[in-house]
Amino acid sequence: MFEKINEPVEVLVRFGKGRVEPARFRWRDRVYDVKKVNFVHKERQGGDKIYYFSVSDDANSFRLAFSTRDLGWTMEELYTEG
Amino acid sequence: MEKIIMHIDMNSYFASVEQQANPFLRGKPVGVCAYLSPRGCIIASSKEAKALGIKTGCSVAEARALCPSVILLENEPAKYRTTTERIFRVLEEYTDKLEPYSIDEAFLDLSGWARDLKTAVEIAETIRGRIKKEAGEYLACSVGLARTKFLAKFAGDTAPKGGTFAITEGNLEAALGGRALTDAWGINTRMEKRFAALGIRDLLELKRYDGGRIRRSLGRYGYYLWAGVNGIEVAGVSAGAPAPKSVGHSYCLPKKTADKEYLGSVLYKLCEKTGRRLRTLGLEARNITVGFGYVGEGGASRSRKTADNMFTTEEIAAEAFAFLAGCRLLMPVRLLAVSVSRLAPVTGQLSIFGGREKGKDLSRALDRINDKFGEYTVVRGRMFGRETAARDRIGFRKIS
Repeated sequence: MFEKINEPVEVLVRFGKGRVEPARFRWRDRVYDVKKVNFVHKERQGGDKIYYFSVSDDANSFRLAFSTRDLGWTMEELYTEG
Repeated sequence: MEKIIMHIDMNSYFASVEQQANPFLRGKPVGVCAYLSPRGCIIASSKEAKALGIKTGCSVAEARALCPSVILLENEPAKYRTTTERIFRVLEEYTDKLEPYSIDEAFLDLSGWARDLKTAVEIAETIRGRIKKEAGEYLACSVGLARTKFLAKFAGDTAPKGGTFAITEGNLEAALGGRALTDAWGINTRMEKRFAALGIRDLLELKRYDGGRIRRSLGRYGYYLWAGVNGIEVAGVSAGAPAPKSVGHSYCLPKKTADKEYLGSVLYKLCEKTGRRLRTLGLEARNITVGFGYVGEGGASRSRKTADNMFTTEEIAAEAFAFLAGCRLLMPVRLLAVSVSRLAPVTGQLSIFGGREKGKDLSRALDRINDKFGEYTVVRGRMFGRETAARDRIGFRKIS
């Protein structure tokens, strides 16, 4: 089931060779470990460039958005089975 | 040098990108829709959805009737464009002639880059692996190889999903035998009927027909199709995407109505989107087509050559509104469309009918503001309250 969230989220990020990947995040007082970054895409919104990270753990799929203008993270979307 | 053309077609593209982004959608019937309203149209379905009969063109209501548990998602153009950019970046490394044909299809001229067809098949495998590694492991593509663009496309459409099919002189007739005329690129049901009138019922019969007679009976286009199935190159692969012939937008209205005020505000937004793209491309237009569709069947459209070039949204809107004002709406309208054509690069030519430069400068200034601060930061009063209508949609022939 999809759920639109759009809430700020704290994200721990791994910087690798030419890659930036969310590794762990805290949302609604719970910590989630990212098992896999499945997809990354970007979109321009005026002068802002937003990077979207579609990530998952064993039970959920999340979409995290990083605004290059605000340098802030948002939990955009959640998909849970069932 | 052996001529080798490769055609790459991404399988169930938008649905596969969605399944790439969300692994919990894999193995499930997924449909990507233009709109999620019951009359909204499926623009891509996953292989699991296709197996249940949910195909491209199906309405949301039909898809739900076929499979109540189908997962329907609204399309996200930014996702598909990002993926296409990644895929085309890979493809660019294998040729100097890459022709993007649509958001999920491309032609590569491998002549001089691949020694022979065997090497081209190996390149196809390498590309397939790199797409999985660099764009997403769930993305699959079909590859067609042949000596001409037409046959490469036919081979690509014939190849199994995720596989490669090569057409050579040796297997050409076997590949064409028993295949419907409409299976080939550029043959629609109307053309099929014209071929049938000559006694041609399948692609092999077309190949064996007398080319001169085809030309006399069906003209140049008929001859191109005959040349296509005979492995005679007509067009060739161009480097880069061909210049657009038209720019336009259409919108299925959430509110079906004959209220001209409401229709006008949406129409203005379509003109603004059309104008924005036209200006981004650095083009002006000399022809406009405006149309609408009624709920149920029917509608009207008008195409007109304009007295002067159109560049600003106001210039496009003036033509579109003249059409709408002259129409007597008999039923509620469900669809509006605007398109401009006869495109040419912007010139500094002054108009003899009056100063257009001020309007052009204003348009450019508004575009710069909206580029910097986001779409619809500044809008005309006519569009007020309709900023969220007719939002970005993806078109198959649109690369960007």
